[in-house]
This record gives sequence, C-alpha cells and structure tokens, in this order.
Amino acid sequence: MARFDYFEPDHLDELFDLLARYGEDARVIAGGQSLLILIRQGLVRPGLLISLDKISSLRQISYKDNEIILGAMVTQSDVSAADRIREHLAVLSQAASKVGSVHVQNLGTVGGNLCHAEPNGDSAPALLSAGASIRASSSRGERAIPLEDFFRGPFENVLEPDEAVTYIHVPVPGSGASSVYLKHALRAVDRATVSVGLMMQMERGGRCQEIRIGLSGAAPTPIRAKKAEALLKGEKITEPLIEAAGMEVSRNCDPLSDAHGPAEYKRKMVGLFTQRAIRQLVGAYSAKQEV
Amino acid sequence: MIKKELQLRVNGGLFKLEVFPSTVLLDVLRDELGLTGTKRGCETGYCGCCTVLLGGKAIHSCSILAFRAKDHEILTIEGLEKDGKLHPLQKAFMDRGASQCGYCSPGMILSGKALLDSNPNPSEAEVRRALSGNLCRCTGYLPIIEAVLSVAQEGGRP
Amino acid sequence: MSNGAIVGQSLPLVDGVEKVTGRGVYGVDVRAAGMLFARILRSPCAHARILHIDASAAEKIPGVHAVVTCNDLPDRRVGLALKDEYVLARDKVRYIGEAVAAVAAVDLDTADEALKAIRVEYEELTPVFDAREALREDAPRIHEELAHYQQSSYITRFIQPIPDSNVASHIKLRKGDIAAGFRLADVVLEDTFYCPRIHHCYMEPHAVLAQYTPDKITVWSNGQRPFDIRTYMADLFGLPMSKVRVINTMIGGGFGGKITAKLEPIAVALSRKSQRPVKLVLTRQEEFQGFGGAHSAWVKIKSGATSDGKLTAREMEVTWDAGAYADLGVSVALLAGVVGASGPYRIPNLKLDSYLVYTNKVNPTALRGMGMQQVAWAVESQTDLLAEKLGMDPVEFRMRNALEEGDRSATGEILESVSVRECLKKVADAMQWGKRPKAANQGRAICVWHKFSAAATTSSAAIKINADGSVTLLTGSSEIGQGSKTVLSQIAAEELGVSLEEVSVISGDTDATPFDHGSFSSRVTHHTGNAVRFAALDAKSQLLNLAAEMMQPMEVTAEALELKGHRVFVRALPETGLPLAEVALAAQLRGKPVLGKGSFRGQGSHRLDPETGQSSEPAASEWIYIAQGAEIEVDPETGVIRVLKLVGAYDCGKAINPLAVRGQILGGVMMGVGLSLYEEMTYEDGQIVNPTFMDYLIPTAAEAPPIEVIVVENPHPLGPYGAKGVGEASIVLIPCAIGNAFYNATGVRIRELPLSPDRVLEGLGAKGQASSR
Repeated sequence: MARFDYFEPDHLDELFDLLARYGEDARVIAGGQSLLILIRQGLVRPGLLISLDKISSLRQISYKDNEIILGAMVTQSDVSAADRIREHLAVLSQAASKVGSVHVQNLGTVGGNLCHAEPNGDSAPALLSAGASIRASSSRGERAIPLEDFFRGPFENVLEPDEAVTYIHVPVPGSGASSVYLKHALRAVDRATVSVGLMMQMERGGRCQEIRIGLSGAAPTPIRAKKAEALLKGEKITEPLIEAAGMEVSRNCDPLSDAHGPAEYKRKMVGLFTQRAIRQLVGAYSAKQEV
Repeated sequence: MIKKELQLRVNGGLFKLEVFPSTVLLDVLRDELGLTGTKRGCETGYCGCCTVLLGGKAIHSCSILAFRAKDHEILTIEGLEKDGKLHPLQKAFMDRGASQCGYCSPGMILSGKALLDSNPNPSEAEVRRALSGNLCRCTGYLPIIEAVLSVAQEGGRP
Repeated sequence: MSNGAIVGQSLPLVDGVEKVTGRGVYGVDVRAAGMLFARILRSPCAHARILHIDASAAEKIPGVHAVVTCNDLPDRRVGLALKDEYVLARDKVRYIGEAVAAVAAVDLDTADEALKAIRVEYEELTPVFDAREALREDAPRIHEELAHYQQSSYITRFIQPIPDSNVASHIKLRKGDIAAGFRLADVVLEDTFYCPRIHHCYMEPHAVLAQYTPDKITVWSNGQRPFDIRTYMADLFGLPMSKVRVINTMIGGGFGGKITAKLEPIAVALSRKSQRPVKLVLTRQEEFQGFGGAHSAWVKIKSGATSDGKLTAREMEVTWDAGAYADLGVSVALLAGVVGASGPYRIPNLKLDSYLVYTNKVNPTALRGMGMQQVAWAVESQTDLLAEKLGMDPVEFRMRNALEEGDRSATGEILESVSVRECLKKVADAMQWGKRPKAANQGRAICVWHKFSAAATTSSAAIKINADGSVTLLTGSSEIGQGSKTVLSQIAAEELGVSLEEVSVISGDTDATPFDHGSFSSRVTHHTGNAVRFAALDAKSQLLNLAAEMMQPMEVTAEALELKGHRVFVRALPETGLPLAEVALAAQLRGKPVLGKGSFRGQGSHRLDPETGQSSEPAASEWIYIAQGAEIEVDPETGVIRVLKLVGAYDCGKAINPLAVRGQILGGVMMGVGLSLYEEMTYEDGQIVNPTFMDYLIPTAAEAPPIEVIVVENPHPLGPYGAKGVGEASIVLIPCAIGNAFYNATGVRIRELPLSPDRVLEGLGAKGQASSR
C-alpha cells in the first residue's frame, strides 16, 4: 500500500484546520472499511489521512425531541444496538445490521458509508427515507445538505476538499410512522443488488399521509423515488396503487450493471421490492388497526 | 515518510514499536510482533482470515491502521490459550472437524468468541451471520457452525 | 470390513492444535534471514509478440537486488503434460497476466516500484477469447509450434494435439454403431449446455521461499505435488534431483490449484541472481489473474432411449477452454471429456469427442472434480429431460440404465466396486422419493455419477520404529487440509498396535520422504494409504521376526505373533509377550533399527486407442460413485433459488476417518453450491473483471444449506481396508441436482451456470412464469 501520513485531531477545530491546509491531498477517514480498500487497490492516493476517531463528540448518538443526531463516527454496530433507533427508525436499524459483515459493521460508520457514495450502499436509502440531512463542516463554517443532494455520481459526493461530514440529522418521525429496510443481495455480506428504505405515515382509513422511498441500486447514486411517492401520498393505499408505484419506480430508474446483477434485472427488482416494502408496512398498519 | 512510535496492547502485553503511519494492524501483528497466526487472504476486506478482536469486537485487521488500534485491547489467536489450556472453541473446532486446512480457523474462532461473549446463547442464524465475514473453502461451514453452537450449549467460556 | 481400534474411527486431525492455535507455519509465514521480496511483472496484452524487455532502470533502483526475464532461464519449454509454456514469457505472451519478468527487492514497495520501471515493448496480435471461435479455421494460432511440442514423461500421458490449430488435445471414443443406436431409439434429445470457469479460492495464496546455491536449491512451497516441482527445477537449473529439495510448509488449501509450479522456478531464478533467499507470495488479485481455475466447457449431447427406458446411444462433443496453456487440461479433456463423460450408465453405442482448445486467457488447471461437474451438468440435466419424455420417474430411469459390478465402462474397463444403484437408492430413501407432496415453487431431483481417480500413479512410504516404540512416518504426499497426515497415521497406528498420539508424520519433503506423485485426484487414501500400510507391515514383519528370536527358548515363529496394544504376543497366548518398545530398542542395539518401506502403484493407464478410445487396461485406478439429491424452492418474483436440502450418498470404499470424510464431502458440496448459484470468473476482452472476493462470490456461512451426508462403504479390492477416495466426489453433482430440482419446480430448463437470480428470472419470464404482479 502506498504510504501516507496519519493525523488524529482530538477536536473539531483541529480537524478543520488540517483540512483547510491539506484538503486537496488529504482524505478524512472514519471507519476505513471502504477507504483503506480503495487505497490498497491504488484507486485513491492521499498524501495523508485525517482521522475522526479521536473527536469524542462525533461518536455520540444524540436524542433530541424532534431529531436524532448521529455523529460521523457512529458505527453501524452502534446503530443496530441502539434501542431507541430500533423503536423510532426501524429502517435505519435494519439497514445498519445488513451492511456487509459484523466485522465491517463494528468499524464501519454511517457517515463513512454515506461519504463513500456507492450506488448500492445501505445507509443512504434508509436515511433518504427518513428525510435525513448532512451537516458538512469546515473552517469556513457549516452547511446543511439534504441527503438527496449529497451525491454527485457513483462514489462522488458534493463535499469540498476542506469539508467533513460531522453529523447526520435525522428527523424523529411522527408517532404514527413506520419504516422498513428491504435489501435484495446475492449473499448476506454483499452490497445490495437493490434495496429500499421506506417510511410511511398512515392515517385512519388506510390513507397515506406521508411517504418517502429511498433506493439503492436503482441509479448511479442512491435516490428518492419521488414520482412513486407522489402517486401514493394522500391516497388510500390499494393493491393496484402499490403495483402502480412499483411500476413507476421501475420506469424512473437508471441502474448500473455490475457483478451483482444486470441493469434490467435491477430495474425489475427495484419496483418489486418497493411494492414488497409498502405491502409490509400497510399490512402491519392494518394489523395494528384491527387490534 | 518516517516511522513513528506506536504502543499496542496485544494479548495482554504492551509493545513499543516504530511503524509507518500507513501500516495496517495486520502487518504490524505479523511482521513486527511475529504473531503469524493472524493471516492475510485477500486485499478487499472479505475473507476474514485477518480477524482479531479489538476491545472484544471482531474486526478485519487488514482494514484498520495500526495507529488507530492503539488504546484498545487487541486479542489475536495466540492470546486465546490460557496457561497451555485451549479455549473451548479451539477444542470444539478440533473435535468436530471444523478445521481442515486451518487457514481460516484463527479468524473463525475469534469471530465465534466475539459472538459468544456478547450473545451466549445465539440462534443458528445468528451464528451464521456472525461468521459470514469469514470465508472458508474447506469445511462447507457446517462443522464450524456446529462447533460454535456446541460451545454455546455447553456454556463453556472461561 | 469392521472397524479397527483406530481405522474407521472419527478422530480429530493430528495437526489440529497447530491450526486452532495459529502456530502452524504456512507458506505465507516462512521466513529466512536476509530474504528478499518478489513481485511479478504481468503482461497487459492478451496476445502479443515481445519485441524488447529493458530492465536496466529497474535494476538501478536502490534496494532492488535482481530482475529476471526469460533470459535468466534456459530456452526450454516446460509443462506438466504438454511442454508448451515458459516460466517467464519468451517471444510471445498469450494472456493478460502472463509472467514476463520478476523482481526481488528489500521490501514489496521497492519491488512494486521496480516493476513500474521495467520497459516491455509488445507487438499486439489478434487474440481469440472464445473456445468455439478458436476452433475455426481462420482463428489466430496461439501456439504456432504445437506440432513440435514435447510431452513430459513424469506421468504417462495421452495427449493428441491437432497440428496447425488451437486444439491442444482431441480425444475420441467410438463404440458400437452410433447411427444404428439412434435408429433404435424411440426418443432422441439434443442439447447444448455451458459451464463457466470457477476459481479454487483456497484461502491461503500461493507462497514460495527459494534459496539457491550452486550446489543446492531449497524451496519451501505450499504446492501439493512437491516431487513435480523438484522435477521441474532440476531440469531447468541443471542440477540432479538429489540437489533440489522441495519442502512443503503447511498448506492453506489446494483443491488442485496448487499443482502447477509457475512460481517456484521464478523465485529460484531470483535467488540465483541475487544470491539471497527470495520470498514470493501472490496477492488475491494475482490468484485470479495468474491462475485460471477450472475449465469452462460447452457440452453438446445427443442421447437416444427406447420407450421402455433403455439408453441406446449417446453422442457428445465437449469443447474445453484451455486458456493459453494445456497444463492439466489434457487430463480433464481425457478423463472427464471422454473416459467418464457418458456417465455411470450402460450405453452400447457411443461417439465421444473432447477438444481441449487454446484461448488467450490464463490457463485453468485441475480443480476438484476434474471436469466431471461440467460434463455431469449437461448429461444429468438431459437425463431428466429424457425421463420426462419417456414418462418415467427420473430415479427409475437411472436405475434402469445404471452400471453394475462387472460391467464394462465406456473405454472397456471391467468395473469393480460399483455402487451406482446403491447410492441412488440410499438418496431416494433419505428423500422419501415419490412419497412426499411438494409445495408450489418447490422442486426435487436426484442425480448420479462416477468419479475417477487417476491411473498409474505411484506412492511410497517409510516407517521408522523408534527405540521407545513410537512411530515416525515418512510420506511424500502433501497435507492440504484433507486430513492425509491423520488418515495415514491411523493406518500406521492400526497395523503397528500403537496409539495415534505416538505417530508423527513428516510429509512432502523431497529429500526426507519417499517418492509420492502427490495430493490430487482423490488418490492419497488409496495410494499412499496402501504404501503406508505396506511399510507398516514391513516394519511389523521385522519386529515380529526379532521378537520371535527374543522370545526363545519359547518356540514361536513370527507368523504366530500378534502386534497390538504396544505389545508383541503369541496370538493364542495373549498374556505372554514383550512390550513393543523392548523389541524396538533391541533392534537398535542389535544394529538393525526397524525401517519399513512400502509402495503402491495404482492400476491402469490413461493411454487409449486414438481412434476408438478403448483400452485393455482400466482408465482409472478406482471409481468413486455418487448420488446427489437436491430440494429447492424458487421465488418466482426475484429468481432466487433457495436450497432447502442437499442429501448425497458417496461411496468411498471405506471411511478410514468418518469425521474427515464428512468434512471433505461438505467442503465439496459447498464448492458445488458456489458453482451452481454464485460463482463465475467473468472476462471482458481477456481481462478478468472480478478478481477479488468482493466481486467473485463464494458462499459464506450464511449461504450454507442443510446438508445430509450418507457415506457408502463399498470396499475396493485394491484399497487399504477397501478404501477408495472421496475428496472430489461431492462437488460433481450439485449443479445438475439443483438445476433438475429447479426444472422440477418450474418446468424451465436453464442450460448455463450459475443459476443466478437474473438468469433464473429471465428463464421464468421466457416461459411466462415470472410473476409480474
């Protein structure tokens, strides 16, 4: 592996200062589960790595009244172990437990997973469905980036060279909301062939009040399925509507072919798993209503 | 690039080393500390032959910088025996044919230990998932799963 | 045959402690003082002339001690069978990834830097990547000198190249009258099937540590045929074999992929030039680029059967993609492509053609199953189609045509220890075949096959009885994780009346251990097991003769004595006798320390009549029979096949160690699951697209289905305790069993592997069965 230097700032100002000075030649390292492999394969050649590991505030999960804030160093294992996240944001909890292997989850961070910006990662669709936003910070200040605006292309995000993701802000869903993450992959440890993060707020009568659909494997970046959402929002969810939503998702996606599946297969699957996710939440909602 | 001083806590001992900052933990364990029980099998973080425990958690030592690992307790396969007595997982692997060529065994055993330490009574599905970051080409996995479950059932952990 | 105290017992492997503690020293772990680190420069071109290599800039880099090219090795072709390759490419490169030069430096970073500084000028030639295209008259010739290539004499070969073509070997078999056979048939089916290339994926990469001095070469290698490696290098470096020592380290898996000695000569050449020990370890990516896995194959098959379910004729054409070099493809093309190709069936009329075809990709080699899974994929798939056409139960159809004891094989061999029907019945019973209802989207199938073990290979062994009665066993075979050290120790311990703990094994050292052809072709238990047994009997005879002398004035002959439980005693008077240790010490004191030797040569020959494929000798040393059942469930919306259960019966003759036998079978089954559902080496313009474990998908613990193993013990008259082999058997039938079960579930026949979800969904869609809710 090509050599690089390694800095471990222990507070944010030091991090921003290093980034301001070395941004172009540096990479921020969180869990390293994606980055170190890229470096070993020679795809990325930073002169130095700046670690987030020693900045304790970035390791916290903060629970506020209206949002949950994940520090950039919060690991997938931290998320899947967090009872309160499982309770309010099942989609995020489930996605975290499906990332790669347990080994990868123990070191890999949600922030790092998002920054890696792969077309078929797990954290992104889950957080897209939760309406999350990124706090990008630098010595110049901070900005909030809605997650759906965070991805520029495959493995490319919109961060400036002197910026780092410090926190991920996730709105606490309303009390009637439910969510689910469905992942279709070849093996348990694989990236998603396709995956769907779905959050829905249902109301009496089976009407869909709010809906967000996050997709992986459907496009060069993770995306929101806004047209399908528009079909469902405000409507009573029926089986024909679910099928229509699935078809809308399939129609509007632009998947990449890779080792996990050809584009046409992904196109079909993304529609199918959107339908399955919606059916699952609607079914659970109906079951609750009957109680 | 120059080497920098690094202290690592491995298998209960404290080691002072001089290492390039870009060195991954796996290379330090094998090349600097001579702990060759931890293996390399790939470059992309999938095979799990390099598994060690960091603060009790199973990780791939090829995918963590050695400097990042300081201040944590590192356990390699060499640290599992106590006073010449094998850990129940090591014994179970031998007794149940869970080790054929043995190359994946250190990683598998440590992943099994990490699971049982945090979840003493795992389901078979949980065992399979905990081991899915460790590839094996010899055993077909079933004897390994059986070995881990047998230790769980016997409640045998030191 | 009943079990002895040790033979037949499920015992933990004798080298288990080294494995579970991490103390074992594998190829990747060995080191020598002052050793240099090597890297290989690999061709970026699939087919090109080498015009010029300039290593001068690389040699000048500080820390670089040697750069070698073909000019540092004799201008002599090498090859396991057909001598068609160079250690380092000379004149031409024939695949992307071919070794062109190598560097030894103080560390790997410096070696990598040196690689970048080596200038190679290529003149690109038109490549051909598809084996069928390579057969065309106008295809570029990959080996212009094919007609002049020599064959290695190390193991007897049967290679039939077609001059001025890309066919490294064409083997054929003609039996009966094929046209008449098809005329007799009421049902004739024709199909073409394809099986892709898969990789061995042993967890430990290739690793070599070489030390050259002018009068001795020493190599530590994790190769599985050390005596082969020695032959190669003695020839290349001009030393007698006695001055070339190859020592096995512990080996982290082989599966046939660690036979070809591509790396050892490179490391030795670097050591010679640098005058330092040199360590060469491949990266995982290099494993995929520099070693080609198993042969992909197109199998055309036409079979005919009468309405009462009797096969009358089978015609097959198998096209094997040999990659750039023939390597062990010659044995694949012969043994799987012809000798065993038509299956364990009585078929009076056969026309078989097997083509080993060069292409511009890295060459495959032996891989567990040795071509049988590729052929069985086609044959057993068609068998179910025939049964269906005839309106017969597929198990019944197989039973009706199964080979039986004393039948002649396709090449004319009179078969012994045949258990086709027994294996089939055992699996059918275990699955309650025909008796259980089937849920929607579920399917079941049972297939049957046979696996050869290579003919005419030799093993020898030596046994020392130490002065305290403990036993040291010397064997040239390699422990590759299959448990050979344990099984051989069990045999020695059984015959010598000692406990397993008292036996130690030295294996795979060409100086210290007697000759053995090595660990491949499921041969060690049968061949080396016999050699060890004979060596033990020889040592036993020495002990008993001496004991008879020592027991005087009691009048006993050696024949009346028994050796058991660490004692020598008169069989009829067990309370008499001497401790074994006493006899062993006495032997030493009297100037005749006990040293037993034994050897065994497997029967048969691979030489067939070039026109008819017939032979007066067996074409295999023994045959192993297999039946495999699969139960699957398919999700018609996603195309995902979930394997509910695999149950197989495997005839190993005699399970010397049932725990080890089960382990080998399970491993082979999972390799079969990988081939069936997940694995394929994919190429674009000769470049492998998925050379990592991220994109080449082998099953993990999460993907292992329930597997039931039925061990069948149908003794072979020539095996130790009747033992045959079992290491490869269980991979062979997994793809066709799963494929047939899928057909049973859906009526959709897919003729290519893997049965990936997208391929399955496409197949279902074509039949109008994919669910589109």
